[in-house]
This record gives sequence, C-alpha cells and structure tokens, in this order.
Amino acid sequence: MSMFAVLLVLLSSVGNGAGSVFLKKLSFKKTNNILSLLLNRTFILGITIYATAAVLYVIALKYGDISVLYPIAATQYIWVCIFAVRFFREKINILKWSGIIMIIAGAVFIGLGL
Amino acid sequence: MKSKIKVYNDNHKADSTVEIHKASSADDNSMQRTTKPWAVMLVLFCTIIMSFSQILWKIGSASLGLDIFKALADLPLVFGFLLYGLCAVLLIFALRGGDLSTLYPVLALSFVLTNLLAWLILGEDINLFKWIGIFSIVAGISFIGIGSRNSHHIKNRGEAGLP
Repeated sequence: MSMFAVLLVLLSSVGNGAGSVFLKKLSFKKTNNILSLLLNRTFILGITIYATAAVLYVIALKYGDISVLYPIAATQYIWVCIFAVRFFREKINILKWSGIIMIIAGAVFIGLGL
Repeated sequence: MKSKIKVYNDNHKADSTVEIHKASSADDNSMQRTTKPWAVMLVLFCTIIMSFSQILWKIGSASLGLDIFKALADLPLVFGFLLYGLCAVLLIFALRGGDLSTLYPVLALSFVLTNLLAWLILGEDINLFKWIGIFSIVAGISFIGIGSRNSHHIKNRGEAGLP
C-alpha cells in the first residue's frame, strides 16, 4: 500500500508541474478579464490537472508515510524546471539547480522530523 | 532576444489576442527579463493561502474514506480545495512578473508555513530536523533568487556583446 502512495505522490508532483505550465502559458495573455481567463481552454485543462494532482496528494497522504511522501512531493520543483526549459526556454544555471536540490533536501529533513 | 520572441509566439499559435500584441512583444521581453518584486509578493501571498488549504485538507482528511459523496460533504476539505483554486488563479497573474522556474519554487515556502501553522493551530512541535529542513528550504529559495539574477545579468551582457 505504501508503494501505491509513493506512486500517487509522484504522479501528483508531475501533475503540479504540468499544471503550472498551463498557468504560465495563460499568464502571457494580456487581458485582465478574469472571466475570459477562467473560461479559457488552457485554464480548464490546467486547473483540472492541478485539482487531480491535489486529490491524488490528499489520498496518498491518507495511505502513505508522510516522511517518505514529502521529499517526493518536493520533486515537483525539478519537473517545473524541466518543463520551463522545454516549453519556455528559460535559462537555469547551477545556482538555481542547487537551490532546487536544497529545497528537496529541506523536504527530506522536514519529513525526518515528522 | 530573437529566439525568445519566437518561443513567445510558438506557444500561442492559436491565440488571436496574442497576435494583436505581437508588435509590443519586444517590450514584453524586456519586462520578463528580471523577476518583479510584486510577482514575488503575490507568490508569497499564494503560499500563505496554499498553507491554509493544506491545513484544511489535513483537518478534513482525518475522516476521509474513498467515498466521494462523503468527501464533498466534508466542509474543511471542500473549502481547502476552493482556496487551492484561488491560489491557481492568483498564480496566473503572478507568473506575468517573472520566469516560471524562478517564481514557482517560492511556493516551497508552503512546507515551512505549513509547519509553523501546524505548530500554532494543531499544536505539533518543531524539532531540530524540521528546523534544519526549514533553513534549507529558505536558503534554497534564496539561491534560486540569486541564480535568476545572475543568469539575467550574464544573458544581458552576452547580448550587449553581440553585433
């Protein structure tokens, strides 16, 4: 059952990363009309992925050990960076990568303390 | 700068609204070059909302099974998800002010805030491991901030040297 929870959180963190790609794509739109932003296909797709990821996370927390799940949830920052490079050609230097590693290390420690 | 404009248009092939703004995309590029302070503030605000939503999930999921109807009647859980949705909408506006790879990791502060809130609201204690974790996450986010400033600096310098 624990392996199942790990898989769910991994899926959820990839989903969070993918959802944020849709939000970033939307942020290029110059309109401030909230309704037109919310009824956009990109937003509906993005928020669906985001919500699914959140549901998976909550279910996983129910069945898995949180100290294992926290660091896996933190891998979403790796996925976001990979997606940002792939889809928006953002530059990520060694300082940024080490920041990401430190965030994941932090999640490991918080998980150990729980 | 050329390649950036190309990416900008590639991502929005189907968007007529963006086509209209094509002419001003050079401006947008210079706008995107650095991370805007207001964008960081907005992401921080999102982080606070997100932490509250996670606390609400934790309160709500205590009685949660795999029964969907029971979950929908679970007010803390539903309210937590609504806050999460609000967070997503605010993120759209926040992401206008900087790179995804710079602004999104700021959300990792929710690990820190969730712990502080769990300490204040749920009475959980913060031990040495948690303090090390909190310190590491805050330091990591600072690194990303410094890193993003550096990469822009180098990029600008490189462009200035181009014919």
